[in-house]
Amino acid sequence: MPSPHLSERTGRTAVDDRTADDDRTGPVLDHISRKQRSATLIAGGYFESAGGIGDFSLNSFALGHELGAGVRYRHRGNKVLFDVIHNDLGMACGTDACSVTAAPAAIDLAPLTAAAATAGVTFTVTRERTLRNRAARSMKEWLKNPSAEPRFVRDGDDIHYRSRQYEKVLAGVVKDNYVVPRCPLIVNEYFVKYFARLRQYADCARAYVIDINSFADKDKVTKGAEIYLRNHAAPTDEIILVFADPSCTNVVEMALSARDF
Amino acid sequence: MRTIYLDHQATTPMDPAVMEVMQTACTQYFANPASPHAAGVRAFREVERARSAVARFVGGARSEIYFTSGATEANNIAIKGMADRCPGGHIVTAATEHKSVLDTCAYLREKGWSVTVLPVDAQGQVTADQVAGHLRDDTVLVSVMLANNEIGTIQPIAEIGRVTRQAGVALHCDATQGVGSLAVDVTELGVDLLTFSGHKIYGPKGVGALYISNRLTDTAPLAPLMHGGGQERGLRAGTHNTAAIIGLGTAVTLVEEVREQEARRLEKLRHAFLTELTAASGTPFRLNSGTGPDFLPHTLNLSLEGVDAQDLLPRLAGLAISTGSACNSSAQEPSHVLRAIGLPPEQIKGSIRLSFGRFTQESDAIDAARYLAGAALPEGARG
Repeated sequence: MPSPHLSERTGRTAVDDRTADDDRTGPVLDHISRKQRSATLIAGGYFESAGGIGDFSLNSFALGHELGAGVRYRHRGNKVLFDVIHNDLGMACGTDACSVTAAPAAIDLAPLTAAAATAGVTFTVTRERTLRNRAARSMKEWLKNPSAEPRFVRDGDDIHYRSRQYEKVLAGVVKDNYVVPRCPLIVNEYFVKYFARLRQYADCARAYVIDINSFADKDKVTKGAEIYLRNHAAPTDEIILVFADPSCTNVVEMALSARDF
Repeated sequence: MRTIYLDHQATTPMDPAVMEVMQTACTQYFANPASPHAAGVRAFREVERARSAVARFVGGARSEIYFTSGATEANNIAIKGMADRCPGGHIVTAATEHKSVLDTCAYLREKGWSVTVLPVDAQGQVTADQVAGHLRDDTVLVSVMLANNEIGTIQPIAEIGRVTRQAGVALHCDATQGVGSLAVDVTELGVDLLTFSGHKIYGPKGVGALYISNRLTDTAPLAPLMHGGGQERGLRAGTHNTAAIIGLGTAVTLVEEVREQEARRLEKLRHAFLTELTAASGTPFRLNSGTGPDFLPHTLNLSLEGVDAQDLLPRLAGLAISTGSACNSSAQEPSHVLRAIGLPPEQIKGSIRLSFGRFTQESDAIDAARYLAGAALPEGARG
């Protein structure tokens, strides 16, 4: 936090810290159409194998339920799905690289199941290992024919994505004729999977994925969102990135669509 | 003593709404937008919102907007960045461009590039045919401004854009003087690069915007002038001037809201000023700029017969106006724009530039005309 004297001198809080008393869902819900029926996937409850289901997981899961109720209220017939991302890669992610830290372990989902039951919703769990494998398969195809997708560029063993918002996006690393996808590609794969699922609701004109993340993950999810929106998105797709602290009382939202790029 | 400010082509006063937003930004969004914490992410979001506002303003995508310290830096990045793609290549520009374009081109000429400076007609216009006639196989860029900062001439950018598109040559447009009065759409204009600054549209100083078509940068990014933290997609390193960027976002939104009606109002003010000056002035004057549709609605450049504008200025302490370009006023040279349109030296010597703005009232215009008329009289005839 900034020094207290700053607040005293300016007569106001130096940083706009939203609290539980503030409307933490309103700015997110403002992005959901009131004019058209929509299908929305809300990804909250993220947890890692190593840390298990902790505060961020439970609080972001609860925030997701609150958002889900709000989305349903925005338009008659809106569909809402809930998903929890389980990072079972055993990796710690940095901006540009990942390192193996631990082997995946079995996780007891009971706290999330109980919370969902209380909220009266069901949810799915998506394992990052699955997303990573799908991303690796598609990149292996790309390796055979790089000109098919010129937005990816090979530089030695690194594969970069020609971003329109970042100077550099490391998408993967080639090892023994196999691509190890980096975080942006895994995030992209998540959006590919879930927007495809949302398109099954043919009566919904719009599709949203509301993805709740920790602040530290801003760049990798923003990069992944760009890859999805430029390479795969329908014009009616919109990604609403929500960044939150572990208590999910301090919330910042950013909406992205293909039009931004 | 009240000062009537009629120098809006040099700079504009900040709109109170912009100031209010910036004050909030200074206290609420002071964090580094690159920082991975709540305050940083919130500042990042506000910068991106401002970027979206600028993108809407020029009809581009958010990813095509880069923030700079102003139009001069943006012009430098645009011209040097494009030139860098073709060492020793050819650049076409016009004689009445702003110094930040002409001097950048002169610098490149010294470094081995070839530069064609197109002459303008008596109104200050270049034509698409002129541009077409000077394109070469090695032409890497055409740079023509949207509207002139001294005489308000609007250039036929859309026509020039059709020529450059057909030839496959990039077109840069310095829109600094035009965006406050003219609707700008990069697709309709056919421009690949477009630049403007905040302080000419009631926003803050120290911030500008550069539009670069993704078509240009997808294949290879422009070479940056500054290297460092990779901000602005690596094109403009340096921590974001967050408050100014947020202020710019508000400034463009305000311009969009009032542009058409404000253009009509300013045109009326100019008419009122000229009517009053004609009635009150004992000294004949001649218009150096036009007042028709090919000129900005708030601009006036005129010469008072037999009057040296430099001598006149001290007698006009309550009137903020310019002689020649304010940007060039320290150079002690006759205006390159007025020379380019063929004015004789005496007429240039007597030239003054007035430009009306958002907070100018009709009474200001009329008072200014009377004040100017009085000051222009020979010494013995002044009241």
